[in-house]
Formats: sequence, C-alpha cells, structure tokens
Amino acid sequence: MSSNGSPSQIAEGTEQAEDRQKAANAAPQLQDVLRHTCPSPAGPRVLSTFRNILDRDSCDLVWVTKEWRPQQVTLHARTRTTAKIRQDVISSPKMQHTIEQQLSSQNEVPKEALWRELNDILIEMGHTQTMPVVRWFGYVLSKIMRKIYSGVFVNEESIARLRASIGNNPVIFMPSHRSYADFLLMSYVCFHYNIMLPVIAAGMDFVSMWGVGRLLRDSGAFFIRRSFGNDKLYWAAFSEYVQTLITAGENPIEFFVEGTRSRTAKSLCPKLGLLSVALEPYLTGQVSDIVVVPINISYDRTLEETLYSYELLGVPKPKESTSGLFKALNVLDEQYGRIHIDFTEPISVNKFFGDLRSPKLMRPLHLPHQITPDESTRIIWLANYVVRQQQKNAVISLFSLAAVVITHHVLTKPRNQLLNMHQLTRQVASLKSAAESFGALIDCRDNLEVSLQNALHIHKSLIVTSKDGQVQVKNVAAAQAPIDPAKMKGHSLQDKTLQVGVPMVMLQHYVNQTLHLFICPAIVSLSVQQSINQGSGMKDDVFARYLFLRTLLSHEFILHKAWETMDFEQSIQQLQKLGVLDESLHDSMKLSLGSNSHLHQILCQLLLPFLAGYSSACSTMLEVPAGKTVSLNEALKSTQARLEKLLLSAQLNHHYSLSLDLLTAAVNSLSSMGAVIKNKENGKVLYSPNSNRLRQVTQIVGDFLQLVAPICRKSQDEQARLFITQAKARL
Amino acid sequence: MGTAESTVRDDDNRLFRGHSHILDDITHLRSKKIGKIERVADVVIWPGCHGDVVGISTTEHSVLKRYQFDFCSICDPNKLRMIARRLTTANENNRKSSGSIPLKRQELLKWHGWGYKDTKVIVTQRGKLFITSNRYPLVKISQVSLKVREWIQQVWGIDLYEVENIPEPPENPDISNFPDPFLESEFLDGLLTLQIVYSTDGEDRFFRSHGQAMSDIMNARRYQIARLPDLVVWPNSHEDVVKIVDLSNKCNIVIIPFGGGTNVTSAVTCNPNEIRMIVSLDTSQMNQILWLDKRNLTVCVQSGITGRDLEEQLFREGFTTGHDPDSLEFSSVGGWVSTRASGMKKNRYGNIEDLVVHIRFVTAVGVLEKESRGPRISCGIDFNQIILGSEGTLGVITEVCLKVRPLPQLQVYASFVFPDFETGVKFTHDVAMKNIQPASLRLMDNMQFRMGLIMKEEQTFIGEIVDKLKLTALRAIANINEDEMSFAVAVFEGFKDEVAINKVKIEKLVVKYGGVSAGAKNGERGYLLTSTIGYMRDICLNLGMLSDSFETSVPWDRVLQLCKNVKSVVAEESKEKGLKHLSVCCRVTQVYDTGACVYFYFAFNAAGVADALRVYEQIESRARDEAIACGGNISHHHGVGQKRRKWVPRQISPTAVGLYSAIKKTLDPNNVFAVQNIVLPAEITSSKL
Repeated sequence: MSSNGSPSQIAEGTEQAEDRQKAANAAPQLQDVLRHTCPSPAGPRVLSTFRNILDRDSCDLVWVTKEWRPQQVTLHARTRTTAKIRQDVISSPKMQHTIEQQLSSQNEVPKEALWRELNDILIEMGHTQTMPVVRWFGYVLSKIMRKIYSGVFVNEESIARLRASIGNNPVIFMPSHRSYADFLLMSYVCFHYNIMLPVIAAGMDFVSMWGVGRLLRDSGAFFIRRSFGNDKLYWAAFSEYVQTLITAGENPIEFFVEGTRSRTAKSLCPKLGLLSVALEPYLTGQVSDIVVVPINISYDRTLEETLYSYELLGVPKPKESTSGLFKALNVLDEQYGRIHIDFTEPISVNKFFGDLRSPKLMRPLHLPHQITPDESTRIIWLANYVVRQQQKNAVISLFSLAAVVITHHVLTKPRNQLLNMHQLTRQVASLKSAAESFGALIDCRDNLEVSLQNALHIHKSLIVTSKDGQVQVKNVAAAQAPIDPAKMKGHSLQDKTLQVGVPMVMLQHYVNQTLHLFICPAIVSLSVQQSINQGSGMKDDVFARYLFLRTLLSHEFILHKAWETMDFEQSIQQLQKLGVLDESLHDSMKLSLGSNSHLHQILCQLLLPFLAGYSSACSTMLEVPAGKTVSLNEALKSTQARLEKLLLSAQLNHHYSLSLDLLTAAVNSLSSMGAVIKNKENGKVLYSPNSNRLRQVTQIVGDFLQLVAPICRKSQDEQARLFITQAKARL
Repeated sequence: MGTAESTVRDDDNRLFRGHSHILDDITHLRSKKIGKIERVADVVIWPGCHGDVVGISTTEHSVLKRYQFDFCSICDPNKLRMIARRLTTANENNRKSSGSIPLKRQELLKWHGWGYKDTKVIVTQRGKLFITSNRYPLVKISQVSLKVREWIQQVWGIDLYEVENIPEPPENPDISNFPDPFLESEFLDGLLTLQIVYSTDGEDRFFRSHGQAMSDIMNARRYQIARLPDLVVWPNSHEDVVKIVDLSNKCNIVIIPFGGGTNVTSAVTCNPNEIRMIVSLDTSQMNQILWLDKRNLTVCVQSGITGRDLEEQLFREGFTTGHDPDSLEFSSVGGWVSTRASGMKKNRYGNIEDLVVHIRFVTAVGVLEKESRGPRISCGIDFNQIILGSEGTLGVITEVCLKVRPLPQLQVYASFVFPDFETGVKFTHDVAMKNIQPASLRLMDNMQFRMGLIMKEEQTFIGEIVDKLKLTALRAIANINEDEMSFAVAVFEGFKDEVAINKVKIEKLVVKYGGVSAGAKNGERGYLLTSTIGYMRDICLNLGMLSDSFETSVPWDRVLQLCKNVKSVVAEESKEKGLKHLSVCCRVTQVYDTGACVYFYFAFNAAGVADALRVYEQIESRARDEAIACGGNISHHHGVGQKRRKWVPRQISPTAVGLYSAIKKTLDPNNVFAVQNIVLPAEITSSKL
C-alpha cells in the first residue's frame, strides 16, 4: 500500500463522505422498500419459456392484417389524435403559465411569437401513430428479420406477468439500448402480443433522415432534441408532452433510461432527466401509480458492431442519413443470430416511492414541481434498479463467453501457443458454470460444443476457426480513406494501432456483455489479492479496497452506492463457492485466495483495460500545470496519445483502453472523486487537477494496475500472431 | 298484604300499569321493612341485565343508604328485576317525546341499519323493488330492467331477478349478549335528584353504541361492539345538560353526546379500555324551537331538534333554514354544528358555519357562548370556530341560533346529460367560474348514473319505446353515448324571475359543453335517491355486499385526476385483494368557487372474501391516501370521528394538533368528553403545548 493514503481514505473524499453517510443511513430503509417491491420471480429463468415469435402459424401478411384489439393500458383511456394531444399541451395550465407569466413578461417577447414557436416545437416533436403504416412496416420488418435473424425469442412468462399488471395505471417500458433495432423491436413484440403499441421517445437525429423520420413518427416515435440547455420553452413543451402521455395513459411510453445506444454493450449509467419528467405526474398526485417495466433485449450479434468499434476509438460517426442507411443494408447479407427479449418484473412506482409521496398540495398544478432531494435520491435509485433488472434478465450468448476466453488467451499466452477449439470449449464450459453461478442465463440450447460452433459461425467475420481447429481473430480494420484529423474526435491513431485496435474493441464489445456478472466478483478478487499481498487479508481491509475500486468504476458500471455491502457479501459467497476464495476458513473475518487461480486470473484480467485507461487519464491530468485547465476533448486526446505510446512500446497490450467512452468515464469519475475539479466557463466545461488528491488516486490506481498487468505482459508483436493479417476489410 | 314477597307476587299485574302504582307498592314494601320512610317517589332500583339487582338507592342518603341492600335481600331477585325493568320502562313511557324521535329510538328506527323501521327495500321476483312505506313516493316501486339486471350481474355478481327472501337481521337485537352496565352510584343519585330521565336498558345502550358507518352497522349486526355506554340520559334543556356535565365532572364520568346517530365516522364509539362509567347523552328530547325572530331572520332551537322537525315547523311559519343534508330526517342541529355539516343547497343558503349565529356550548369548566346576536363581530378570535367541528370532544352543544330565510317563491328541479364525466366536470367548473350556481348542482359519473337506474319505475311498453327513441336521439343528435355519459341534477330556488334567469344561463352553458336537458322529474328523482341511499346500502349488506361512501373536497384543477386516481387505486387494490365483483363510482356533489366536493361509493361482493370488513377498510384507507395525495383532503362534511384520525396531523400540521390538545386540556381537564374523535389520544398526551 502506498504511503500517500489508503483506498478507504480516498473513497471517502470530502463531499463524497457526506453523501455516502446519507446513503448509508437511507440504505436499510430503502433496502426494505426494494425487498417489498420486487419479489424475485419464482424459480430460475429458463430458456424454455422463450418463444420465437417469427415462428408463427399465420403468414406475415395475415399476421400484419389481423384485427387490432390491443390490451388497454388504462381502462377508459381514449386514443387522442395528434392534433388533440397538441391542443391539450397548448391549453394545459402549465404551458399557459410558462408562456404568459414567465417567458413573455421576463424576456419581453410577444406572446404570439412564443405560441407560434411552441406550435412549431410540438409539430417537430409529435408522434402520429397510424395503424396502416405500422402494419406495413411490420410486414417489411418481418421479412428483414427472417432474413438476418434466426429467431426473435420472447419470454412468454414475462408477457403473461406484464399482461396481469397493466390495465389500471400508465406504463413505461424501459428497454436496454444496444442497437437501432431496439426502436422497432418493442413495437413489433407488442403488436404480436396485442398490447397497446408504445409511444417512443427518440433522439432528434432521425428526423433529418428523409422518409425514416416520417416512418418512425407514424409508428409511434416522438422526437426530443439531444440538448436544449436553457431553452425554457422547449423544456416546458417537452415535459408537458411527456406528462400528457402519462396522465392520459392511452399508450405505454417507451424510452431508454440509458439515454443513448451503448456503444460498449455495457449498460450506461442511467440518465435521469426524462425519467424525472415522466415520474412528475405521480409525484404531484396526477396519477395514482406508474408501472415501470424494465426490458432486456439481448443480441447475439450487434448490427452496428464495427461502427461502434471505430466510434469508440474516435473515428467519427457518419451523420445519420438515408443513403447511409441504404449503404448499411449490406448488413442484410450477414447472419445476426438470435434476439432474446425479456420483460422483467413490473415495478410499481407507488410502492417504490410510497413513503416519499407528499406532494406540495398547496401549489397549484400549473407551477413546475421542484423535485426534492429525497425524491431525487429515490429517482437515482429507481433508475439504477431498472438498469440492474435489465442486466439480470439478459440472455448471455456463448460467444460472449468465448470472447472472454479468446481475449484472455490473446493477452496472456506467448505467440507460439495458439488457441484450439478443444481448449476453447473446455474453458468456455468452466466459465459458463461460473457465470451461471453468478445468476446468468446462457443461451446454450444444444450440447455445448455444437452451440459454441454455431455461435462462432455467426461471428465468422471476426473469429475464424481453421480446419485444424485453431481459433483466430480476423483483422477487420479497413485501410481507411484518410480521415480529416479535424473530424477525429480523439487522437489520430496510427494504422498500426487501428489494425489491432478495431478487432480488439469489437471483441471487447462481447466481453462487455458479460461484465455485469463479473464486475463485483472481479473487484473483490483483486482487492483480496492486493490485501493479501500487503499482508492483511482482513475483510475490513478488503472492503476498503473494494470500495475504492467500486467508486472509481462507478461511472463505468452500474454500481449504485446503496448496494455496495450487499454486492460485496454476495460476491464473496459466490467466489468461495467457485474456489476463487478459500472457503474453509476458520476466521470469518479473514479472506484468502482459493485453488481456482485460473478464474481468479480471468476475473482480474477483465479489469485491465479499465485500470490501464484510468491510470493514463490520471497521468494526463497530473501533467496539467497548476492553475491551467483542459477541456474534456483535450484530455481525451492526450490520454489516447499516451496510451498509444504505451501500446506501441508494449508496456500495455489491451487496445480497449483507448475507448473514448472509457476515458470519458475516467475523467468523470476523477471529477466526482474530487481528484479533478470541474469548472464551467462560458458554458464550456473545463477540468483542472486537484493535485494532492489526484496524486493519491493515481498512486492507488497504479498499485492495482501493477497487480493486473503482469498477468498479461506480452509484447504486441507476439500477440499479433493471433491475427490473420490479410483479412478482408469490411467497413 | 302479608309479606313483602307476597305483595310483589300479588301485584305483578298491576306493576304494568304505571309509575305511581309501582312506587306505591315499593313504598308499601319498604315501609313494611323499614317502617318509617315517607318520601318514596325517589326510590329507584338498578337492574342488571342478567337477573341480578345491582343496587337500590334514594336521594335521601341519610335515611336510606343503610337499608338499601337489606331491601334487596328480602326480595326474590328475579321479581325485583322484573319490577326494576318495568319501572324504567314506565318511567320513560311517562315522558312522551315532543319531537319525532322517541326516547326509545328502536321503536321507530332500525337497530341494524339506516332509517325507519317501516321502510325497507324488498326485492320480489323478476327484479321488482318495493319500498315498504309511503315516505319516498317517487321511488316507491321500481322494476329492474333486463339491461340493468345484466349489468348488475356483471358488476356485482348478483342476479336481481333471482334474489328473493333475502335474509335479514331480526327486528329486535338479541339482548342476551349485552354486557352489564358499570354504574357509579353517586352519579345515579345525582341524576335522581335532578329528576332527569335515564335508562340502563341493554337495547337503549346498544342503540347508542354505534353510528351509521357501514363498519359500525356490520359490527352491530354481529354484536361485535367492544363497549356499550353504561347508561343513557335524556336531558330536556340547557340547564339539564349543565347539571349533568357538572355532575359527571365531579363523579369522574364519561359523557358521549349523541344527536341523531347518523355519523359515518364511528364518532360515538366507546373506548373499550375506558374504566370509568360511560354515559350517552341523548339530545333527542331537547327538540324545541325556542323562538323564531321573523324580523331578524333568526331561529333559536334546542340542539336535539332534527332537521325534519325544524323544517316542518318553520315551513308552517313560512320560513326555512335552507340546510338540507341527506340525513335531514334524523340528524340534529347539534350534530350539524359539531361535525361541520353541509347541506345540499349550500350555494344559496350556505353551509352550517355560514348559518350559525350563536351557539351555547356546555363544557366541563363552564358555558362557552358569545354575547352577541349581531350579524358579525370582530372581537379577537372567533371561538365559535372551536365548537364547530369539535365532534363531542370538548362539550355539549345545547342551543343554536340559526339564520332563516322566507320560503322561496319557486323551487324547480332540472337534470342534464353530458357526453362524459370530463365534460360534465368542465361544465360544473364553468358554472363556478361564472358564479351562476343554482341552489344545488350535482354531477354523477356514468357508473353512479347507472346505479340510479336500478330504482326506476316499471316501463310500460310505450314508455320503453319512448326511452329507446330518446337514447337513439341522444346518440345521433348530441353524440352522447349511454355507456359514457354523465348525469347532472340541479335545484333552482328563488323568485320566479330569478329562477328563470338562472335557468337560462345554466342551460346555455349546458349546450356549450355538449350536454342535453333531461327533464325536471329525473332531477327530482336524482335527489330523492340520495335520501334512500341508506336503505339501498342495507339491502346491499343483506345481499352479501359491503358498501359505503367517502367524500373529499379538492381544488378544481385536480378534480378529474382525483376521481380517476381514486377509482384506479380502488380497482388496483381490489385486484390485489382478489375481489371479483366491485363497483366504485363518484359524483361531484358540491360546487364551490375554488373547488368541489367529490363523493365516492364503493361496493363489493363479499361472498368468499375472508375478513371482508377489514378488506373494505384497507381499500378505503388506500383510497383516502390517494385522495389526499391527489390534492384532496380528509373530509368535506363527514368529519374525522375515529375513522380518519391518522390523517389529521398531516392535514392540519402538528402545531394545530398541539393547539387542539391545549384547548382540550383547558376545557376538559378531567376528560369527561372522552370520546376519542379527531385526534389520537396518544397525540394529546404527548403534546407539549
């Protein structure tokens, strides 16, 4: 342990300490709430309850033209026309107040202009769900999905559960967001099961796409600008629009609590804005309850996998355009395996918030609701809970496990040692049983070997198996047209870096799909190892180290504070069962490593790219001279440059550290730990180091990295052997 | 006559005949034993309920105290008990009530439900409904139509065409179950001296142990009332009350004031843990109009007079108070004041707090009253406001001076239908905005409107066709659909021209909101139905349903949401509790400038539901939570009682609870008025004010 400070001291930073204390005080009570709210479903989840909805008796044409009598979200809710909804928003007391009393008089803008602007905003925003369009779209989708997917599997048990819990209160669907396909899938599933089609909150980027905007609008999407800062009128219009949808309860509302597609396949930290707006009608007593349904959509293979890879490395994302979409249609030639959809246990917001609901009833409804600190804490909790539920109900593909094994092999084994199919199967099998003991449902329908081969086959563009059973990673990076450095979001990486980087990041995409299972056990394993190395091994000491890592990675993974003790205890139990930690201890307060060092190594290695990236981010920030500030972009660029140097000089060998998402999370994390200070100047966010703290953090992160790095210290040249160098470019 | 025993035996028959005879006999009897007693009129016997004699006493302690138990010992206890019972009966019968409510309420009113004994709803074959008296002519006979039958079957799981001989509770309660009263001899002596009529009869005590809340009635029907009052006392005047309260304060006795007994908040329920004697102070014999001042438009009444008696007498003089709650026939003026009642025609006449000019209020530490008959007074805090809504916890209201108005020249009913509840609410809101409220305006939702259809006259063939035509026309012309529409009823009062103008304004507004007029008769029936709703509730109970009402008041901007949410919560909660057949409906029953009063009826079929009463209470509690969370409040006019205490601190702030406790401690240091209404007892003791 470094002399600069123990992890526990760091974790309990100045402002943080208070928050933590508060959370700790609130925790038991909230745990209670949760326990009562969400009884875990009886029995373990099984694949047999999933049914392929593409596999149906009627032909697509009969299917899309079936009589439409959906199950209502709330009784007596009447479907409003688009114009009526717009009228309702405009005539709502809140809108009237905002325009007449606030904006007009404060800014001395004529009211008429504001009303016109509002009308424009609403036209831009509004959905126009029309069944004929939905039907035709459904028809086309059926055809496409049949072509590229081998099945869309829906957990019918969860559908039954959903059906039972709707009918009285507004419903919010919150699916996980990994792909554009998510937008369409939910409506497709609802149509199939005769559930009222959701109205979907979508980003404005689609609107500019010719035809597509219209199409999405007609199938029930409404559009929200990505950022509207201080535009009060827009904010009011948007929140009133969402709230009228909630209070009227005619359709389920669907939005992605992660805010945007996760390029990394890990769950993003939930965004609270839209959720808070959607919950306001409940908090102010306009509806008696809201049913929140977290939904997991698991893809065997993500449509955008290559695109994401480039994007994470900083190669710019092409602007959404219809022609781009057609270009992307060549994805239709490929196979993308299965999709699994699971509606998780519906959450009653009233049961979640019941004790807090004391609306300021003396306030008339037209005044905006001020969310209290208690409410806000609870909303964060709910959002995290939703994401966790999504994760818990994932169906993990065998390829994800294979990706873990392959990555581990690439990073740890010398050049002359290739991975063969036999080894892979064996290691996947052991990893599978580990994952299952962490509660995962693994998509393995036949015997493992066949399933694994099928899974690899779907990803044949990334992983190839030679005839003699050798498993290799393809180099998928294209010799790109030279990219205008000005367009690069990050540092201009060398071709050499990209060639290994792109497939590695793609592989990590699938590794990431499993990380929610492994992250806590991995943190605990590493903490135990470090604690033992430092001569302690006491549970308290391990916990302190665990807390530090957890805080550090809290922008990377869903690690809500309130669950820290629960997660810790659970992880220890699971690790003991798996033999990673020694079970046969007499002293319950002392932990030590068990016999399963292979799994221990895999777990620790999973943390490598993160620790490496974070460590570099620390170093970069340390170099910022006192009194100077950097923008996020500058920080990212120089960190990437630093990492590239490390990669080229073989001091580091995992290219995922270059991920801009990872590095952004690192900066955010340092900022919330108080190691860097966030300033806003002229609307720009700038960062400056808080030297003492930053040095402490850097030291501790470095210590952890030291433990992980040797497991996989191999030079890049050696690894490169695993890649087929002349693979065809695909992008 | 030989021995004392033979006297009793010989005179058994004579004992029935009257007061004086009995007393003579007892005198005789006693003279034989004691030999020198002259004053006998004051002798009294306390009967117990189970064949034992509790004791005997007279007012002249000095003379008799020593002998009272000797007297017992020489008599056969059974015979003495008989004497005693007849004595009390005779004692009461001697006092014929001057008002419409007799001392023995059970002779006129039901012990197991709402209203008059002679009035109940009977269902005969094929869904014919009768009301067995002529008190409610407009709804006397009705025929459930096939369509309504089907609907009821669906909603309540009951086929009204098949029910016959619905089991009913017996006419008289089973008296064998009543516990003995606990009696304090000093207090009884005191009453005797004061010559105030009282009773310890089981039925009398039982009748005053509960109100009219559904749970009260269910508990009474099952004899599950933990504690009865020990004695019922009937004062005649303010002075009587002052003396009784004084005496109680001295003897450490509990008084629970009892007016019309129509509370629906368990407001007269005795504390089962009370170790002191509990006296139910029945004001029904304080039923006189003391004076009517036609020039100053005021009337002064004793607090026990019922609304019906008061209005009938005023009517003869050409006046009215205009206070017209649904319970008018039974509820008393004192009850109105102590629960902050509201009358249907409050738009024209005001609620009780607007009508009250002066109150005499007897507390344990003295009489609280304001020495002014002026129309208004600015003299610091208005302490009338602590009497209004005190719910019997601070003292007894004895005399009330109310405003009166000359009878209106014209009274007209009207009714309207609207496409749905939402437009109906918007209409009522607009009425309030334009300040053109008729004397009364109510809006029923679709469900309640349909419930009303149960009590509809049998249709002739022609009538049915006309009805169908009307419905078709509604759908075609006004775009009003029978399954969605809401139904409004209104009363206009005043001078002819005044009524005409008001009516035109209202009708215009009705048209604006897409409504259609539905005639005066439907309007009148709408109002009459609400005064028979208690009887309907009882037949529901007999049919195995549980049903009751609850109300709230809410600002306009939240009315619709509140209605929707409360219904949704009830539905949700019922689903959770596994109820299959239920209905929840509401009406906007009072229209204010700033908001409205919303009244809910909730009913469910209790067949196969375990512990149904508790299920009902849980759901109602959830519904009220929701009403409050939606911006409603604890009650518009029913009051708090013991049913809604848990919401009070949040509703009025802990400071106000402290203030109430301080008032309570000051006005009632010995806790004579120990009925635990409004605030939980623990909160009073813990208050630091």
